[in-house]
Order: sequence, then C-alpha cells, then structure tokens
Amino acid sequence: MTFMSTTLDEVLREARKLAPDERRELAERLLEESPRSATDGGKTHGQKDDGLSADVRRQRLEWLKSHRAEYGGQHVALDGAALVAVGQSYREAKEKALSAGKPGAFVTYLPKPDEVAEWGGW
Amino acid sequence: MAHRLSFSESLSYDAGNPGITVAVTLRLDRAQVDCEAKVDTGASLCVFARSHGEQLGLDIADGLRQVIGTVTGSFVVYLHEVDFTVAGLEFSAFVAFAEDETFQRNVLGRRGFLEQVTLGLVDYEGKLYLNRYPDDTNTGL
Repeated sequence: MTFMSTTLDEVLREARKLAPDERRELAERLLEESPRSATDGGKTHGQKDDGLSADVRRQRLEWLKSHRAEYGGQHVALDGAALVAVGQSYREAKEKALSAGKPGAFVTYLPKPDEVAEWGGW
Repeated sequence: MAHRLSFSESLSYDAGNPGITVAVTLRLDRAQVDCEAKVDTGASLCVFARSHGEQLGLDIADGLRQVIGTVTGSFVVYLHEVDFTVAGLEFSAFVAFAEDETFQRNVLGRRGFLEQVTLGLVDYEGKLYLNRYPDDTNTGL
C-alpha cells in the first residue's frame, strides 16, 4: 500500500536522525507496544520467517541433520525446511536466496560431520 | 585512503575486564534468557552454557552435534536455532549449547553473529559499534 510505505519511510527517515540512545529507546518502546506475536513481530535480521513455528524449526533441524554429509562445509539457505540456495559463504548463500525471491530464508553454516570448529581465545 | 563505516548501535564495555563482554538476550518462542557473552572473532560459532538452552526449553542433545577444538583439547556442543538480541539488534541463528553442564562461558563468534554484522571496536575507550549487514547504509562499501 503506497500510502503506508511512504509514511513508514518518513518515520524511518526521521528516526535515523535521533541519537543512538534515543533510537534504542524508540525501538524498545515500539516493541513494548507491539507484541512479538503480532503479524510482523519477532522478525529478526536476515531471517524473516513469518510466524516461525516450533514445527518449522524442528523440520529445519531434521533437514540439517540429514543433509550434513551432502552440504556440510557450506552455507545453506532454507525457506522453511526447503533448500533454496547453497554457498561457500554466508554472503553467497544469502545473495542466491535473494535472487531466488526468498529474502526471508534462514541462512546458516552447516558443519561437516567430522568437522572440528574453532574455539577462540577465551 | 580513508575507509568509512557507519553503525546504528554502540555500546560500552568495561575495558578493564578480560574479554569484550556484551549483554545478550536469547529467545525461543515465549521463553527468554538474559546473559553476557564475549565477542570472539576467533570462535567459529556462538556458544552458550547448557543451562541457558534448557531455560529456553530446548532438549540440548537433540541438536546438531558439533565438536569444538581448543588449545588443550575439545568439547561437544549441540546446535539449535534460536533468536537473540545484542545491542538492540535481533538475529536468528544456529547457535551452540555446551554438552557439559559445568561449561559456563558464552561466546559470540563468527557463524550466526559476526557474519551478520559490521563490527567496530575501540578498545581504548571500551566502545563497540554494531550495524546489521547487509544494510542499506553500508551498500557503498
């Protein structure tokens, strides 16, 4: 809806003029007023699945477990529990998912079955 | 040649403490856990204490099993998809929970966190800057 988009753009433009602390306060207040269960609530950066349910998470986890040998060592982009893209990096998988018309795809690195991850310095 | 980055968020940490420690809120459905985690560019994954995952209602051992190697040995974690918030930015990612109940460290590593942000660090001032990436304000990079 054009009117709504324009209004939102204007609000965002004004909000970006605020100091970081004020922006955070604004975000917190808006979140308080709009429950995460609302239509757009709970969406997170790069992983915009509407109403992601425990079932979807469960299916996704099962997909990752069962395709580890096949896709391990790469980034995969999943729309629900369906593979939409594979990449050698987060960026490659993300951009392929965007090209496939799945901007909300869940992108994650899938470790190989025998892979040993790095632990940092702590 | 000068390089410019822009950040939507900044936070302060105690530069006198070992490690760069930031507040993190983990979420799964309606459950949430507040904790602190160290930002660690050397860690492959985001790793949290087992108890945090259990507080979210996860069956830890039902996740994707992963071994993490350290200088002195290795330990086992299980990966689960959760949401988490750092400095007001929300993420959804596959993060690890330690198998060992005595493991109490929380780490924000590369997969699931660093790969989704632009990070700036001024340790001299104890300041950490964050921005989502990709992000419209950084498309000129």
